[in-house]
Amino acid sequence: MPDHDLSGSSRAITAVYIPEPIALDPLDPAWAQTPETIVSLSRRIHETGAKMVAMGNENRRIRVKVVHNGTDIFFSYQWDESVPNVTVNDYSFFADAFAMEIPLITEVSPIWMGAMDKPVNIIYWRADLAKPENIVGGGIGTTQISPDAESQNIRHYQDWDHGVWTLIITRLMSAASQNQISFVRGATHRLALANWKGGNDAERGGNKIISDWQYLSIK
Amino acid sequence: MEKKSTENGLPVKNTLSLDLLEHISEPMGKYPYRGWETVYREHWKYDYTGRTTHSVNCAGSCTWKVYVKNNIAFKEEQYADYPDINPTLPTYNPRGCQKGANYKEYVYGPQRLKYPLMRVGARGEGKWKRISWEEAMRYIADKIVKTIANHGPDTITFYSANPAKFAITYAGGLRLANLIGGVVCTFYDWVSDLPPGEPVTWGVKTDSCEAADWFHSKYIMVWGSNLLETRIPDAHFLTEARMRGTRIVAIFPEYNPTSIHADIFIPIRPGTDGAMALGMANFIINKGLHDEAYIKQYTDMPMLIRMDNKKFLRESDMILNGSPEKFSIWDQNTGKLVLAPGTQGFLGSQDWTLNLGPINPALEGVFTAHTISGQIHVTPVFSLLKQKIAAYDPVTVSGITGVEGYLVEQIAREFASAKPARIIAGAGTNHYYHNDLTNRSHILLAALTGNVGIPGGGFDHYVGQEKIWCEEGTFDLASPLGYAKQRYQPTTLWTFIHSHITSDVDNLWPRPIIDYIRESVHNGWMPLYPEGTLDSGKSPKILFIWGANFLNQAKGVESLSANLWPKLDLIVDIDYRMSTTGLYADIILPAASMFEKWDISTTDLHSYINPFTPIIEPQMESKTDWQIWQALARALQETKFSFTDTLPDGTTVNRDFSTLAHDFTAQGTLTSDKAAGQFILDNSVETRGMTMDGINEKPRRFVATSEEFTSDIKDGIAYYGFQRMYELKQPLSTLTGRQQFYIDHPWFLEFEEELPVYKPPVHEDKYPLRWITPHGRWSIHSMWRDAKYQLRLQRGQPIVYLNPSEAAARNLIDNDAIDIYNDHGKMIAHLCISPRIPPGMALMYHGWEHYSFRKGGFQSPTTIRIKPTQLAGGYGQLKFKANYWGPTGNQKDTRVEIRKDKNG
Amino acid sequence: MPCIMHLVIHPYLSLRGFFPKQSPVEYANIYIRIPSSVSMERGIIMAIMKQIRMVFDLNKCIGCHTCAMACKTMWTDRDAGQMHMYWMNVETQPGTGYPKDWENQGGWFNADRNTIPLPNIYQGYGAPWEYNYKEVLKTEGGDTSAPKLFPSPKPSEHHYASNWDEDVGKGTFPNSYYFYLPRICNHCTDPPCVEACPRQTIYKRSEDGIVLIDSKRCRGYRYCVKGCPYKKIYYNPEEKISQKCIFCYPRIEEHKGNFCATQCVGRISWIGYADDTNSNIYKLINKWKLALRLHPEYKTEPNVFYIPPLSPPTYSFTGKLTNSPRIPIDMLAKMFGDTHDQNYDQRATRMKQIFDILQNERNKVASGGNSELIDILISRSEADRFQV
Repeated sequence: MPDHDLSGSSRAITAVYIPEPIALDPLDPAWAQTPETIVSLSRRIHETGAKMVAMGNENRRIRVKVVHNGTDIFFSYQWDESVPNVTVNDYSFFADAFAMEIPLITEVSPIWMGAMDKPVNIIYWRADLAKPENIVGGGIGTTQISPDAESQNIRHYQDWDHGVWTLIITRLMSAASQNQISFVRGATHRLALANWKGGNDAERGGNKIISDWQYLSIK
Repeated sequence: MEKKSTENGLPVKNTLSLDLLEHISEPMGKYPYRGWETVYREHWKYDYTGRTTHSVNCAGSCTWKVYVKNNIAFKEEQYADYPDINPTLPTYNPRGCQKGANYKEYVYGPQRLKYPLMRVGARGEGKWKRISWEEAMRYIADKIVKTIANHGPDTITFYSANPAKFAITYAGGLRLANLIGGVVCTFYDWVSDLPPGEPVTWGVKTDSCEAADWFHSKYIMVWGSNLLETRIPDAHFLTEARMRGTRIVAIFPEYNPTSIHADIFIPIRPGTDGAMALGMANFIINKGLHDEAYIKQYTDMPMLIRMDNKKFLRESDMILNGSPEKFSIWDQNTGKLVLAPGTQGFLGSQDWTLNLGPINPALEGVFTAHTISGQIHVTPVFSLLKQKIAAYDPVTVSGITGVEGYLVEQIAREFASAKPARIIAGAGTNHYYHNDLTNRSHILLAALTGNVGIPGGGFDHYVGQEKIWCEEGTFDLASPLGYAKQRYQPTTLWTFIHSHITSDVDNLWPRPIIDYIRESVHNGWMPLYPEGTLDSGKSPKILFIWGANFLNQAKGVESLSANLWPKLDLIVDIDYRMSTTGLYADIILPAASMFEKWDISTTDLHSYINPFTPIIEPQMESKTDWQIWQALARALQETKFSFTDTLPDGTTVNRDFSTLAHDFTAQGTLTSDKAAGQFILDNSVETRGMTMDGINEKPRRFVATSEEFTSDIKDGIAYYGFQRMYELKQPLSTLTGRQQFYIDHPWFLEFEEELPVYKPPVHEDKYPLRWITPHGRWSIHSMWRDAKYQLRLQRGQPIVYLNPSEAAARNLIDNDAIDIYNDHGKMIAHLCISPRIPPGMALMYHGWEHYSFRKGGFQSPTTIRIKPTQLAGGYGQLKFKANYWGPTGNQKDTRVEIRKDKNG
Repeated sequence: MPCIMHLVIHPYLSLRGFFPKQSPVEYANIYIRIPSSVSMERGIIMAIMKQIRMVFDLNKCIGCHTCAMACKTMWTDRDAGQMHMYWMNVETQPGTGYPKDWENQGGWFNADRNTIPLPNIYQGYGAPWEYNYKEVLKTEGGDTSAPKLFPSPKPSEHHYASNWDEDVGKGTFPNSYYFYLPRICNHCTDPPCVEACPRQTIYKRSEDGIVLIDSKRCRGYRYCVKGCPYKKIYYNPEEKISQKCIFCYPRIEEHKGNFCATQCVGRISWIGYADDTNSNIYKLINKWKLALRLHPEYKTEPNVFYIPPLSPPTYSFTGKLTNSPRIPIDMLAKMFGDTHDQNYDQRATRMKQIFDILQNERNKVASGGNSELIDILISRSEADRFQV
């Protein structure tokens, strides 16, 4: 597996356009035609109470592919995880989780869950949940699962195999509600990723590792 | 609100969740998202509520409110609407316990019986076939008719426990038994909750005060009655009395929940309570702390005893045609021997009173009496008592009980000086072989100090069913042909004989136990069914069990299973839950639960009546017990069977089944459960003028008491016993009309038990640990023993508490699987090591179902030991009456050994 | 209605260590939670208008668990994730308690936050036993042979139960001792759970001071479970959120008592509002100073108070009754006190003081006198116990 050095990289991710039906399947031929970008998650957040603190550098790499057909957009995320954490059936167990965050109304929002006047749209996946959640955030501690049914239109594929999590998230490109960002061909969105390893010192909530803003171009 | 739009200009379709986002600037008092709080408000919503109680044999009789939503009874709450007796007394509210708080588990849980079942495999094998009610009823009716024809009606036996907990349900089975000639088994003596010393001394089954009267005591010795654990709804009266300065003395072998709230804990060796009581009595008499005026008037202490034959000096000794029920006292004022007023011989005359008038009886001295056969010496009972209990000096008592002599004296002095003072006793002292002697010694203490008959004072025994309110109405309903026409069977005797128990206590008596049994049965002192059992080996054939778990709870269960059970051609269990008894029955009939029927519940712990009501429909195919017995009466009616039945008293009854269902319902007037309940209310003085709807509206306090009681019920006064004796000078129903400590029945004299004496617990099991199986907090007998919400607050399976030193001596560690065994049987349980248990004792709370043990049951190490004094009859108050006088099935004299289970 | 603003200044702020080592500038926008009206030397101004309080008299507690079952059957018997929860529990003390060893686990204000454990269900809270009823009882018929009823998982010191050491106690017979300790959420004046929750999902209601978790916003992160030193917040793995005692607020709103109090058949509890000087809780706590906090050194200022337990005297080696209560004052002083800054000696002195007051007032009434305190402790009417 190539080890990309991201220092000085453009942090650019391209959503490739393939004008064909695409299946929610890692084996769909569309993926073979889509370049992979490595996103480095190196901002370590530790949470004590509501206070979040960056705790130095760590580098968790997410292999990202994005593809769309003009109607639906697919995000593929892969990362290494030696032991998956999928159940939370006891106090000390936390599930692996992943989130992608995009500014909702403005182009720029604070990376920490946005702000009240600069909200963000988050798609949050957790290994033990039935489906990813559409979330809007207006700052730390404010995130809220979108209450409307339309925003629950996100489908996903998840699989852990041989030390690798594969997560594919898909939804219609056009927003189903005001609580979602619309993906329009030609546009560029800021995109930040977050990852939680449930088995690593109970990562959950603010105890996580996140990326800097990336730039997602919709071809 | 300003409309927002995305930068992509998409139309606004939904509520933007961002609109809902708010700064949580301060969660301490200014939280913005409180709309979610409706969640729990919704949980608390309900469609309607109803009133019920629980027919478990705890003597709680607590009124509960049941909340129903979508036809599901989802929540139980103590109703807490008992009217207060008076504002100076703590209220009875709330009233309930943690088990009653979750009875719904049985209503909807996997234990609930849903359909009639018929056994298809071997008994106890667990193979069942679902059958219809019609099939079940036809099958049972057919068996009954054939059994009567071939073996007689007294081979059909009915067992249930305690009308107080469910009067209609109880009466249903008895009513059918009464009509067909069946035998009704007793329960109060069998479960050893009957304190035989009370009928002996007082001529009552019991007459304990209601719990509120505890508040009036200045001194309470809680003696073998673990009130805090076994009287949960009433315990607050004790802790509240303590707050107002009542001194609480806890006398128990182990440090238990009641002891923790005592002012003094007195650890006593198990089964030696009588010795301590007599030691105290000895001290009280020696120091002159007894109430002389009281014992002269209200006890037999002044009654003269013939020194030649140890019998009472009777009028019949002195004059021809004199009454054998008139007794003498020595009047110090006149220096003459006079007849004591108020004895049985004066019944109906104006001398049937405890008023002594000018008589001042002597308590001590030797006097001369002139009898038909010459001059003899006589002496008062008190003299004899004083001599006899002199043996219980502090050193001796300390040696027996393990209680320091100074403490015996200190407690005796305090008790005698703190009127009103009370002894509260229970199973802890009563489940021993010599329970009658311990009872008598306890009552002696209360009487010597003048505490019986006053508020806050006396000897009050609480375990099991005790006296029953509305007894008259209940038994009128139970006995359409009359109480006298009912065959009653003391169950201890019946089980002992039909289980072929081998007596291991013959060495304690001049003759073998079986001789006393034969004599008692042949004298007609105790019945034994079927008639001819002892001579021709007849045996019972059919057993109905309802509202009880007879097999699980039986002493000597190993012999019972091996010998009695196979004699039975048909065992029918009627219950709403599957129990050990059900598992070993032939036909199971599913009964309505306590949320599904009208019934009546009472207790002597309070003076109110509260009903069961049908809050929800009987679930699945279940029916109320009253309807089940009716259905059986209908099935029997269809057989048109008839026979002539000769009762033990020689009278005959023509039993014609072709009208049986009509007879059962009193020509249709008692068809409904509610009508049966109203019948009870209408026919009991306690509930004069009350209606079933009225008591559903709110529990009512009883308005009167029957002659079974020793006091009237009075507005504003908590009920306590013996007011008629103390205030109205009305004699008791004992031979002497008084609290009678001297019993000159020939057997009592033969056994030297004419006065209270101490006899040690039975040591016939040659094993080191006393096996104590008390009532506990987590079950009412076997009820809730299998209920997981209760079990989750325990260790989940049967445990035995053992002292650390006993555990160490056997190389046991906490939670080890252990065998508990002796010559009678063996069981497997788990160990709980606790320093609250003294060495030499193993304690397991009773009632665990057999199926909760890998092997055996909690009664496996027990046997049945009959004490001959309790077979006595033909003497004043000593005459058989169901649940009043009969041999007790005590079990605390059992001893066991414990070892690690090899399959650990 | 009097409006009382509770001002809480935290003298132990430095213990909490929430300041980042990194420059505050870079992460300045992280600190948005801190109210702008309050300085960085955090104190909290709370808009708590009334505070509900509860007193338990341990001299009346009979350990019957009716409170626990009243709570359980109302609030925590709905799904499998609640089976291990007892928002109201009763434990034997001395004992391991519920969850096991909770007194040694710590909370947000009294322990190193990184080392506070999260107890697991079976080993910590106790296994909610399940049973093979259907196999054994066959209430619908059937033809398997009858096996025995057994709990799953198999009970052991690992598969603990919430009340495992009930009535075990300590000491050497006959001087054995124990008492019952009923526990609910303390609805603390300074609730550490509120502080621990990163999502600000936990809050204190202004109208009664009841502390609640917003079940819609909770994400089940369990910081609050760690944060509470009394371990009175539970995680529901089925609903994936944390849950806790709600002081039966739907009933308080109807001016009915909370179930654990109204259903307390031992009649050991009183409820009322802290500022109601006519209430019995005020009299017991503030006037007679008879009721203490459980572990006030945890610094959360609980609003549940306890009247400590008397106990029968011990016996000396020679079998003589002593004057020493069998529950060591030492043990009680370590458990109960008035405030977080009292030292051990002060707490032990208070304990003896309380016992003296109790004995004096008992004696006074026994010899015919009147005592306001004893009248409250008896509380002849239910109206004496519930003043909400």
